[in-house]
Amino acid sequence: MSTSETNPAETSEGQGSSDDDMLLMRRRKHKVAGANEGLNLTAMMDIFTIILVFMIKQYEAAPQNITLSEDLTPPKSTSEAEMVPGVALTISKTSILLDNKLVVTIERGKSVTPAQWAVVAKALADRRDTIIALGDRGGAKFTGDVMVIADGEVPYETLSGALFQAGNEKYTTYRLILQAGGKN
Amino acid sequence: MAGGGGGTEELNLVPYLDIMVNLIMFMVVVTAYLVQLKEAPIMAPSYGPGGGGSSGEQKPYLTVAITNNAIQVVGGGKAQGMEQTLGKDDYAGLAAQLRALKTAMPDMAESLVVTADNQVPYKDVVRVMDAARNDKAGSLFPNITLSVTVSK
Repeated sequence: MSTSETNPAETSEGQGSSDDDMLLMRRRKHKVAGANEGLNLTAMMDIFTIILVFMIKQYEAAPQNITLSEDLTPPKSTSEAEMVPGVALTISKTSILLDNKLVVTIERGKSVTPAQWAVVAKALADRRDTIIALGDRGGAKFTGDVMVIADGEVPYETLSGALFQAGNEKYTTYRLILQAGGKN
Repeated sequence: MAGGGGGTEELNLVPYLDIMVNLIMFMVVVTAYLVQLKEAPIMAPSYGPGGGGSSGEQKPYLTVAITNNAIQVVGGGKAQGMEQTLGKDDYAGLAAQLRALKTAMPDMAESLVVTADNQVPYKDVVRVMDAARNDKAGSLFPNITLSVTVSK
């Protein structure tokens, strides 16, 4: 055995070491290349942000959102006039609400009593006075607009009674709020 | 070395993107269930005889009365005495009738009085209003007044 002869163990260790280095370098190169080629999420973020802002603004633009239920399903109509916000007088099968606050409860299938109409009239007057007071302090002026959101099965006497009470309390413009979408 | 590595790190946008996607999905679903609402402006309701008065000097006007089993078209003013009865759900017939009357009487008032029996559902009133407001040929009676009494 000459001295130039290399120790097989050393040789294999030396080769192993250089292989590891090669592998490490390849991995580093691959990692760097991968980092550069990764999906760029910034553009997607921009798109999503724009969509989200658009949808929030669109949602806000609706002057009145109502939740349909068995007791409150406005009839469908061919009318195409856009809604204008105003005091919301809601007449469901079981109750009358003013700006989403319960005013009276109606027994199913029964007419509104004169005493209940008096309560509705008082609520309308109070709401009118509040709007006038707010208007005097720089808020929106009282325009006399009332939006009537009524269930399709509500009898005509209830509807006309509500309009009559509103008229007595100086509400001068009536708007029936209906579902878009043509015939019932 | 550690500080240098931090400089090359980018903000991890994935969690933020997840939130945005969820928010958008939520809003899309909510918007789908929102009901598109429109409005139908009406004139103030009035008590007393529909159309107010029976003077022969007035322009002709019409009152549509909805009863529990029929739709009646009643004339007023110069059209006093005219009365026609249609079936309860004959909305197409009502529109045709109103168009014929409007064509026959060019000075007919633009407003129409609609009245109904106490127990007539609101949706029937709206259907009559839709039929009276316009037809395929165009506008019929755009100004609708709701009255409380029922014409016979």
